[in-house]
Amino acid sequence: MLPLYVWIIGFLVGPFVILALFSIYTRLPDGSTSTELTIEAYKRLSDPLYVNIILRSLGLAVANTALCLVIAFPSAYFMSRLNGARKTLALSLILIPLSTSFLIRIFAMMDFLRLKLFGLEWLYTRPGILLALCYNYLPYAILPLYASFLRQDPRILEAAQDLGASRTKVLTKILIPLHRSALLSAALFVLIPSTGEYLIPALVGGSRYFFIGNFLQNQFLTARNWPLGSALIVILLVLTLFALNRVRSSDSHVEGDAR
Amino acid sequence: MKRLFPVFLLVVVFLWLPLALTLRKGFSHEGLERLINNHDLLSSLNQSLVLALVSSLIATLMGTLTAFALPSFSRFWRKRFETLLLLPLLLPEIALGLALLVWFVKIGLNFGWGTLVMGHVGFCFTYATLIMKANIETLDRSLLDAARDLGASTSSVFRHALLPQLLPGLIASFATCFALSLDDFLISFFIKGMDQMTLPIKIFSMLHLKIGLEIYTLSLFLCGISIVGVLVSQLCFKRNRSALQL
Repeated sequence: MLPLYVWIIGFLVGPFVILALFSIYTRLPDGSTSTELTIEAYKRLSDPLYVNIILRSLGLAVANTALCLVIAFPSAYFMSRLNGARKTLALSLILIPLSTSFLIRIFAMMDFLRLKLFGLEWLYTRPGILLALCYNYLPYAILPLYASFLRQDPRILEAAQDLGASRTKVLTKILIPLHRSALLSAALFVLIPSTGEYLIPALVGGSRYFFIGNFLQNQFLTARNWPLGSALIVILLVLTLFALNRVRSSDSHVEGDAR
Repeated sequence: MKRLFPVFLLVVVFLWLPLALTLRKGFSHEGLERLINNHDLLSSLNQSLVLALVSSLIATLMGTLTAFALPSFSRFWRKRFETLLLLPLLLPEIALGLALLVWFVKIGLNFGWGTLVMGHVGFCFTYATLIMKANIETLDRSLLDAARDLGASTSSVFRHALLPQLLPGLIASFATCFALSLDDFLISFFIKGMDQMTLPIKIFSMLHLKIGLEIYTLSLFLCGISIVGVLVSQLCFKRNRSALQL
């Protein structure tokens, strides 16, 4: 168990404790920090300027999550009902783009957005960023849903249809509640990373719009305001831990019922 | 069922069309020639391959040991550890990269291969542990007991009864870590030293200039490797994508 402790201390606890400390240090005018404790950084985050950046990132991430889930749900369901070799093929068609280099994918997307589809300007616009986000995160939404659909007992749907449930009823009363935890996993896998996404807004957005990712990079490397950047990362970390705990505890309920 | 096919088709076209349009430019003699003559690019490919090899070996070893140790913790601690383990899967990469940057500065490490390997092992460890955990859960323990009862020595139990069962997991873990490490841009960007130039960082620096044909050709090669990798892992091990379950 030594490796686990080494990893937890060296990779998680150490870095994030230091970051938490930095978030309550005082920033000196020259960009360095003194160890005097203050909550100045957290107060400054409530400045409308920063609140705007956070809300804009969250809005984009929520839109991306909704888009990914709406597309992923039916396609994952379709994939899970294929048989044998077709299923393997369908899964590979999703996995190959996912395991292609991230930079190459963004770069392909930028080329694609330059094409001015439907006569519209896509590159360096917000819809363009959303499309690129969806392009990148869609597989992460499909995979947990697909795994969950695979475990579903086909008799449940047959029973519902035999008893005369309509298609909407089947969806809202059976499929969505049954795969609630997979939907939650899928949502988190898209929502949290896309909130802090840095490269896509920087490249596809041409740095025209400021999101949390660009903001963090800027605070640490350019503006040299480590406390402010650290405070935002600490908030992200706390929210992530909170969400993870909630999902995992609701997950174990479901498992407990099944056994 | 049939009514859902168009949605799936849309997804596949959406995921593949941009890649296909871009990568087809890589099918050219000139691109290949320029790739072979671009020593900077090839040297960064080399650096990335070595880094990926070293980090995924270490991460797989650490992950395997951890996966064996996890069941011996009490339920309370196991749940806590597993939550921590999932954190790098979810946190935005930039948060991890910056946290590591600040941490390495604070404990006074020189940025270079050392920090780069530590960072890569760090984020690969999660995947290695999750994959090996799933693998160990399917272990047939009676086989080990039988071998022992029939008088096999500890080393031959390990070699003949345990290792063959672990092999699919070890390969899947190594391959996953290798691919992740090879692909990582953002974390490496923050924790590398002056002299390191991994492939993604090199490609990123070239994106700002006019993109040469060699990048397309190289991308085509990398995509080809990932096609082979995915197909092989799909055919051999059906269960290694369970890592994406919270």
